[in-house]
Amino acid sequence: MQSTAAANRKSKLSYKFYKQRYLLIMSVPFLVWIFIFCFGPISGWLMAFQDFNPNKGIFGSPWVGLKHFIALFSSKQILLVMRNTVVISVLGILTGNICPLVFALSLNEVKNAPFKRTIQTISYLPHFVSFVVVANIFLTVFSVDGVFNTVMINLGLISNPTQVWADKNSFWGMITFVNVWKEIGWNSIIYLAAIASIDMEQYEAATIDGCGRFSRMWYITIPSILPMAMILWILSMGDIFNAGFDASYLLGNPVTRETSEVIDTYVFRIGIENGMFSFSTAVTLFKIFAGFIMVFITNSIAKKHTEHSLW
Amino acid sequence: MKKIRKWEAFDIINACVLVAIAFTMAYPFINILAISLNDAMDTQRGGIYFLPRKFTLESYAVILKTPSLVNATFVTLQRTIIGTALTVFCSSMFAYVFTFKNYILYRPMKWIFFAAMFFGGGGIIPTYMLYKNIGILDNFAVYVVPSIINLFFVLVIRTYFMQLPSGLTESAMLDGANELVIFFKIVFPLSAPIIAYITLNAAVYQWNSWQDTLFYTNGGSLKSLQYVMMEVMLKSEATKMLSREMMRLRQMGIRNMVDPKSVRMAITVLVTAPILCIYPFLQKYYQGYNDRLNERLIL
Repeated sequence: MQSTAAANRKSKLSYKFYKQRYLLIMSVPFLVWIFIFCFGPISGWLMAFQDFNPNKGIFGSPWVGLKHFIALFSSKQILLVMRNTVVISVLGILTGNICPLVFALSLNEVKNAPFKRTIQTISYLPHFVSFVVVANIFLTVFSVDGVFNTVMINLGLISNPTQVWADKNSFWGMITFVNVWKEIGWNSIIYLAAIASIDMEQYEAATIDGCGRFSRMWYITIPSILPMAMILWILSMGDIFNAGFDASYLLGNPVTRETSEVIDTYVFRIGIENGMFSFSTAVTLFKIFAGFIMVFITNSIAKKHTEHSLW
Repeated sequence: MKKIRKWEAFDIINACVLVAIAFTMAYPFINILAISLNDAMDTQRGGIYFLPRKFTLESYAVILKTPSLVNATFVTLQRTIIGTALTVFCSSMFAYVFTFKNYILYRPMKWIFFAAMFFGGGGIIPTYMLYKNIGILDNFAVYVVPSIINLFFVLVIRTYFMQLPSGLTESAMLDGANELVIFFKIVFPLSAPIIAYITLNAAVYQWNSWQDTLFYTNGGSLKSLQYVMMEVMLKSEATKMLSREMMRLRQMGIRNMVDPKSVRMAITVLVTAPILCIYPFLQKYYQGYNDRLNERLIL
């Protein structure tokens, strides 16, 4: 009896497989793709624990345990790179969440719809162009013969043209400005959508109670979009070791390297340009896990002190 | 009365601030366009703001006459067309498989999918090694194969497919059509708006890419327009090479002096113009989808 039931179940399963054969055919290439391109690089993490030699491959290279991680934590250069990364990304997270919010609040106060739409349309434009174009724009505008210097000299604010991109002290400020410039319009969309979903009756009631424009903004708009802002903030904490390759690579130069080098550009330089595969993989691994830990920490803090968290 | 006047003052200041912000967004593009259309010698005197002083198309002519730049334009077009077609087709097919909740592999595939979304990838060095092992390093395939599926697009497309009326596919199923046929004949044609949205997104991604050229190729004939622009901008050798190319052109009879900077501006205009052209369409689709998407995925 039992064997026939099992056989029955088996034939049922194979019948199901047969019936869904087209779906199976359709999923095979994608599963192959996912295993190669999403999970494939993870096996490369093993390189961090080896003295990897490309000619010998992962199986032939000698294992060295935590050597590269010890080297990583005792390296002075890494400390500098880490500092730059954290400073640039913290500035980015702060401005990247606050500026779009303020921009959205300001846009929301505009009553003239075509004017509002025009401003919004222009403001997302930089989001769609590549960082190469953005870097080119800022290198040109702030170059010695660029618009910035010409205008400043004509206004009498400076007497000699300044080389903005050759000044290592202004790099963090400039890069933050560039990032805000590129993404402010785009990132404000989500806040505008959240503001649009607030119940209008709340505003009407507040107006009847004698609330002015600013108190309505303070007591209704901001508290209503705070939960979402919180979630965006938690999500962005995972990027605290991710200051972005493009900005530092394209706008930094040997003169500003002391403040412009971040983890991603450092990994590229030592890994691909100098062939230190194992050490740069160790740096990458450290970055990925530190990012995970940051998300967990922020999430638990947010859970403890507010009602908003990811899980 | 007094209160209302204060509000009006706020409105005016607010509008002025917004106009100033929009101006800083739009102005650099105007400035770049003006420089690219201005005579290179004249530009060095400074003071080009809105309009070119000595109008010339010489910088654009140089692009057309420099073989490496023509090749880069072809590479960019090629990867944009092939890459976008593959991404749209494969991602939507994968999304379609994901709409069958009674599919035997639905649950395992869902787990694999989310694992790939959160843990997938793993730094440029492991990726470099992987590409080397599977032999797509320094090959055109490196531009299009790793991006054939975009997991985020899959989620977006699936959401759209799920809301199509199920009666359509069911009746086709009763008529004996298999899933593959239903996908090509019914689901794909009915999803034009989402397909358009994904196509535009994927095309912008391919058009703007330059990092993969830097990480995973040795340059050569695989350089894209964005990459060449980056090289001219950052690397003095590239600038020297371009200068040599221009010297050669000058000897061939082009009289006007053109410098690498104005060519750089002309390339910038060339790579930005198509984005500006599709921008109204992007806008149209974004307005609707983004609001809905944000609600679904984040809220």
